[in-house]
Amino acid sequence: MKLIHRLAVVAVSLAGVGAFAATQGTLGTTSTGTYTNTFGAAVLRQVQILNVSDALITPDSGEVLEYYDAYKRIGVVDRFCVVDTTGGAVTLTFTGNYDDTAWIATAADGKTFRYYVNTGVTGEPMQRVSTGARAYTVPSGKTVTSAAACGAGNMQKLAARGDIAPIAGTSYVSLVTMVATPV
Amino acid sequence: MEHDHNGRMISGHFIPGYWIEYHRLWRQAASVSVLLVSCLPAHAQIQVLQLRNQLNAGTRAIEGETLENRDAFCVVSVRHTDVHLTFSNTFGNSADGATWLAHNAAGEAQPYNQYIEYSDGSGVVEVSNSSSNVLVMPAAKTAQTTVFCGVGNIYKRVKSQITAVNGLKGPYSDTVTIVASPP
Repeated sequence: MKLIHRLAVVAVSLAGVGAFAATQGTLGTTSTGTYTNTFGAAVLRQVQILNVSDALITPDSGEVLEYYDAYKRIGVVDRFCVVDTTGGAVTLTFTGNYDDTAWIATAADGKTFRYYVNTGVTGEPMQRVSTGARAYTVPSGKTVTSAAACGAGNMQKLAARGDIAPIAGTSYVSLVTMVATPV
Repeated sequence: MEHDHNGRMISGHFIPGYWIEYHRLWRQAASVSVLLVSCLPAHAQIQVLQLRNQLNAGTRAIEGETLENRDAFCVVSVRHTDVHLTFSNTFGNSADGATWLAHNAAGEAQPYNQYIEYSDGSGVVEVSNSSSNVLVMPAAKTAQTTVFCGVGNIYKRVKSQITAVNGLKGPYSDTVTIVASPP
């Protein structure tokens, strides 16, 4: 069995503001310079999802901790990054092919295979986005304010096999789309 | 070309702390000239530069949010003497003299504090307090030329707290003037 879990990303942004120029003093017996302090401006708020990678799950993939570390399943965990230029909270909404409890990957012959998707802040137990609203809100302060601050990734995602084993020798593919929206 | 009181031609150049004069004695009837070099103390040469505006910044104008940012600027004192830095602002002080005021387009005020300090946070002077708007920068802290400014040798830090009413009516701006003068 080979499950390829692909992600597409969409980001939504809000509007913003500009600034004035400071003046520098010249060399002399006295020197005068000016600058402007501005507060409470509606700073350009933008969000971005980046450093997302496809997950390839094979029978040789190791076990990962899924659903708040409650279960061990064969799967893959990797990292990605969510940027909010103001450091605010961002909701990630996941869409794709799923049923009431799990995501569905499809083979070329139409056969399907159910699997789980989890996500969460790096270093914390992940929650399933396989049920309910299929959304996760990155808390304020857990987003990074620029792509340069992503490091290895402030977020992690997981794709793991469901309880029913797949048909040997068959590849299943599932495309998952993440949309980031400022809270 | 200038002449001294003996009619000698003077040229020269400036190095930190001194004015180097070259006196060339002219003899009209002969092609001989004599070069005299003297070192004279320079007039106090002072400069304030590397000033930048502050857009505070990070800023979602949320009630209760404290906006605090600092950045560096540079004060040059060619003779390496103390420098007086006198701070004033466009919109003046609050009624109690404890803070400066920034205004929005409607003329409504947002109080804030302006601090001046060194890179390690020492020597803090709250120049936005009407009783302490002058700071004496010791000679040892100044740069003798702009070459030695680096990222800056003194910091300005602003702090303000957005209130529920003000937060919705930004941006609030105030222009600060720094006059650098000899002791």
